[in-house]
Amino acid sequence: MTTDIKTVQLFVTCLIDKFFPETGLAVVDILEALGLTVEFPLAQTCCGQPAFNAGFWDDARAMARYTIDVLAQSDAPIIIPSGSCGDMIIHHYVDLLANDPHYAAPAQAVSTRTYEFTQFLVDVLGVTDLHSTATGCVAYHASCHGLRGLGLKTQPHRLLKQVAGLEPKELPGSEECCGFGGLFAVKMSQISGAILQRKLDNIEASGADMVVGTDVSCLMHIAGGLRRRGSAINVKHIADILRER
Amino acid sequence: MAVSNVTFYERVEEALHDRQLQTALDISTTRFTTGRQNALAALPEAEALRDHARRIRAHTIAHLDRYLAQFADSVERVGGQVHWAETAAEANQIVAELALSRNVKNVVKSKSMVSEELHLNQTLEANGMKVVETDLGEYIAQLAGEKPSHIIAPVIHKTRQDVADLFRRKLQATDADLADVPHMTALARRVLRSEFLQADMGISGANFAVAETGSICLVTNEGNGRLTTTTPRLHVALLGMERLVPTLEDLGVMLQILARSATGQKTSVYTNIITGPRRTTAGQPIEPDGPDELHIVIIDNGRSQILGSELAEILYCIRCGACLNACPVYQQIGGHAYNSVYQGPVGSVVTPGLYGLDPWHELPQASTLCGACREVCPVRINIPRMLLKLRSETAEAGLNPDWLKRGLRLYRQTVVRPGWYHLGGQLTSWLSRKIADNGWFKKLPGPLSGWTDHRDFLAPAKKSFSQRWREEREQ
Amino acid sequence: MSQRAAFLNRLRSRLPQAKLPEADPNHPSSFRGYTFAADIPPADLVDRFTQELNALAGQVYSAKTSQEVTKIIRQILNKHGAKQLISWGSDWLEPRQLVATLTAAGIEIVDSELPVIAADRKVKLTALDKIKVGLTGAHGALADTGAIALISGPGRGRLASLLPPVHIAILPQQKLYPSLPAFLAAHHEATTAGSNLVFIAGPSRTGDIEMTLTMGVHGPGELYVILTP
Ligand code: SF4
Repeated sequence: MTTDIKTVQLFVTCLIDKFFPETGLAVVDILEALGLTVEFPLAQTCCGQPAFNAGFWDDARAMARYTIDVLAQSDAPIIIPSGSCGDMIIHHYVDLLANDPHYAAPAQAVSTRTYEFTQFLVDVLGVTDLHSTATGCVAYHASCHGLRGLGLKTQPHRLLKQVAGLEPKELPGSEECCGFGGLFAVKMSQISGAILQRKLDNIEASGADMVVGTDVSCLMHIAGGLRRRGSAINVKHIADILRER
Repeated sequence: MAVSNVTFYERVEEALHDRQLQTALDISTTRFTTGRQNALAALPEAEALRDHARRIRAHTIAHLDRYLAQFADSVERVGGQVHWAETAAEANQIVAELALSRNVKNVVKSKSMVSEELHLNQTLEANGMKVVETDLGEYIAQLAGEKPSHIIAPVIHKTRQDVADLFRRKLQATDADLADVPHMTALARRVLRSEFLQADMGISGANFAVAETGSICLVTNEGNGRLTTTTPRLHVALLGMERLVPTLEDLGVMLQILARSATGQKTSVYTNIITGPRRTTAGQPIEPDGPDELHIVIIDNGRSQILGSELAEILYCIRCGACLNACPVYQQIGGHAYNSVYQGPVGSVVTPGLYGLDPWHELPQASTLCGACREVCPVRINIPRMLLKLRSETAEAGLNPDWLKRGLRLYRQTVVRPGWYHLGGQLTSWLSRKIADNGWFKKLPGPLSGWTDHRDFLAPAKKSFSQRWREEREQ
Repeated sequence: MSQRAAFLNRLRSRLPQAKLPEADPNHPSSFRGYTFAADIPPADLVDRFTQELNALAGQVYSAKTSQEVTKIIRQILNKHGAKQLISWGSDWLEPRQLVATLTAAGIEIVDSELPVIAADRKVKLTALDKIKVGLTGAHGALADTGAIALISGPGRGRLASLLPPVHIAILPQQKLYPSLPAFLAAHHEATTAGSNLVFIAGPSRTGDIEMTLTMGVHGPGELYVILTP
C-alpha cells in the first residue's frame, strides 16, 4: 500500500444495511484484508438522498446534518459502497448546506474525505488486484451517479479485470440509465419500467450470466426485473465478487 | 399556454403503447446519438470548443441588456427594423399589424419554435391570412393538425403510410405521387414552391443573432429557410431574446458544434446569415433579390422570468436537441407526452420556467437524474441541477401527492433517530418476510404498487448489516 | 418610456438575481489558438473539400482552362435540356468572358432582378421558377465540411443558388479555407458587403419522412462545383 491510511469509516448506506448485509460484510472483508481497520459508526442511517431528489430539501438538510454529525466523530476517510450516496455526500451536501453557518464547513470537510468504494481502492490505495477468483461471464452496468457524478469510468473495470476466472462481456449501452431514479421508479413506474426493459434486453443479449455494478439501488431494480422475466442471470455488487478468494 | 385535459400520465401511457412511435424513437434517437458522438470525435479539440462555447453563452446572457441594445443598433444601421415584445400577445400584435398594414395575404414560415410559443398562426389566420409551414416535417404536422414531436425531426412519430394517407386526403395526391418517399417529397416541393412564389411575407425564427453585425443566422437542410427569407418582399424574424452571440467569430464557434450535436452532421446544408434587407441606393435596390423590408421581433414572453432565477443557465441553450436524444425518458415517451413546444430535458426546465410549475410540475419529475443530458449538451448546461431546483419549488408549493408528503415526513423523522430507524427496519423485515414469496414480492400495496407493476421487489434481509455488526463485533 | 427601454430595463432588473455559472465579465478571447491548430494543411485542401462535398452528394469538377469550364457547364445544361440560366453577373464569374461565351453558344442568361412592386415581383418569380439551372461564383469554400460560401450583392443574387433544381458554382482554388472559423476570420466584410452570406454544403436534403434521406426538397437537388486554377 502506498498511503499512510490505517483506519477507514464505513458508511454502508441504508439499502445495503437493510437489504444486502452480505455486501456490507464483503466491503469490510476486502478493506480489512488490505490491512485497514474499519470503523462503523452505529448511529448512521440514510444519507437523505431520497428526500433531496424528491425536492424536500429542508428534510434533506436535516438528514445531511445528522449524517455529518455521525461521520465527524472520526477523522478517518469515509468509504461508501455506492456511487449514488457518494455523490450525495460528496457534492450535494456541500450545495445544500452552503449557507448554513454551522454546517457549511463540516459538509466540506466530510466531502473531501469521502470516497466511493472502487474509487478508494483504485485511485487512493492504488490497488486493482485483490487476488479474487470467480467463475462466469460478467457484464458491468455503470450506474449514472457514480459514472457522471463521480467519474467512475475505469475503476470498476480495472478491478474486475483482475478477478481470476471471470470473463468480461461487453454490455451494450452499459452507460445508459437503467430507469431506477429512486422515487421515480414508483412515481413514474411505467416510464421507469420501459427503460428497464431496454436494459434487461441488453443484459440478456450480452451473453453474461452475471451483472455487476457499484450501486445496489440500480441492481435491486435490475434484479427485480430479471426475476420478473424468469431470467437466471445473477446480479451482484462488485464487492460481492471481489471478496471471493 | 393551452393545457389539455389529458394528464401527463395518460399521454405517457399512450406513447408507451404506440408501437410505431416506439420504433421511430428507437431508430431516430440511436441514429442521432451515435451521429453526434462520431461527429464530435472527429472534430479537432471538440471538448475545448464546447468549453469555449459555454463561456460565450454565459458571458452573453450575463450581459444580455448590453448585447441586445448593440444588436438592435446594428440591425437599424443596415436598414432593418427592430420591435420589442414583452408578451406573446404583444408579439402577435406586432406581426399582425405589420401584415395588415402591408396588405399581406399569404404567409410562408420556416421553422420557428418561438412562433409556436406565440400561437402566431392562429392570430394571422384569424386576420384572414393563409399561413403555411414550409419545413417538410412541420408542413406534414400542420396538414395533420398536430404538433411537432421533436426539435429537429418534427414528425418522427409518423410512418410513410400515415403521410401518404394525409397527402391523399389533403393534397389529392395520386398513386404516382405516393410511390415512394422521394415522390412524396417532390409533391410537397411542388405544392410549397407555389406558396413561396405567391407569399407576401416570410416568417422565420433565428438560431442565432450576432450583436456586432446585426445578423441573424438560420440553419436548415431543406432550403426552406432561404426561400422564406428571399422570395417574399417582407421578412419578419422572431427572435427569442436569449439567442445572441456577441461577434461573428463567436457565431463560427457555435456553428462548429450545433449541427454536430443536433444530427451528427458536420454542418447543416444551408447556413444562412442575413444582415438587413436587400441593399438599396437612393431608394433603388442594388441587390437583385431578397426582401425589401426586414423586421426583427425580439421576444421575452417569460424569458426574463427565467433570467432572474436559478434557472438562468438554461438560457445558454442553443436548441440542438442532443439532450432529448440522449434522455432515457424521452427515448421512451417521445415529445408529445411533454405537451409543450419544448420537450425532453431542456423542455422540463424551460416549460415550467416560462409558464410556472402549475400545471407543469410533473415535467421535472419525469427524470431519473441520470445526467446524460448534461453530458451531451454542447454548452454543458447542468440540467439535473435545475430539475432538482424545480422539484424543491414543487415541494415548497405543496404540489406533491399526499402519500409522498406523508411518507417523506415519516422517513425524515425516522432517519434522524437511529433507534426508530432500526426498530422500524426490524419490524418491516419481520413482517415482510412473513408475506414475501421466497424473499421477493410480486405485489406491493398502495402507491408502491408502481414498483411491482414492472419488477419484483426484494424483501429486506432477516438481519441488517448493523445488527450483524453489533452482534459479531461489538461484544 | 420606449418599448426598447422598458424591455432592456426589465432585463437589468432581473440580471442581479440570475444564477449564471461561469459567466465572465469579459468577452472570452479568441478561439483561434486551438481551432486553427488542427487546421487542414494547404496541400490537402482540394482533396479534403472534394471528399467532403462528394460525401454530401455534391459533385466536384476540376477545370484547367476557360474552355473546360464552358464545356462542363454546357454538359450539365444539355443533361437537363436547358437553354437558360439564372446567373450572377459576369463581373463575378471567373473566367470573365464566361457569360459572353455562353451567350454566344445560344444560352440565355435571364434577367433575375425582382421588382419592388408586389404583384410584379410574384409574376417575375413565377417566370424564374421555370429555369432549371443557376450559375454562381463563390467567395470561398470550407474544406472540413465541403461547404461553399456565397455573399450577395449587386449582380450576385440569392436566387441563382436557390430557385432552380440545379446549381453550378465556380470556385477558384485559392478560395479554399480549412474551416468556417478560418473563412470568417479572413472575411470581415462577409456580413457587411451584402444582405446575405450563405454556406451551402451539398444539395438540399430532408429526412423528415421516416428518416429516409431525400434530395432536393426545397433548394437545388443537384450541386456542381467547378474548381478553377
Ligand atoms: S439544453 Fe443543451 S443539449 Fe439540450 S437542446 Fe439545449 S443546447 Fe442542446
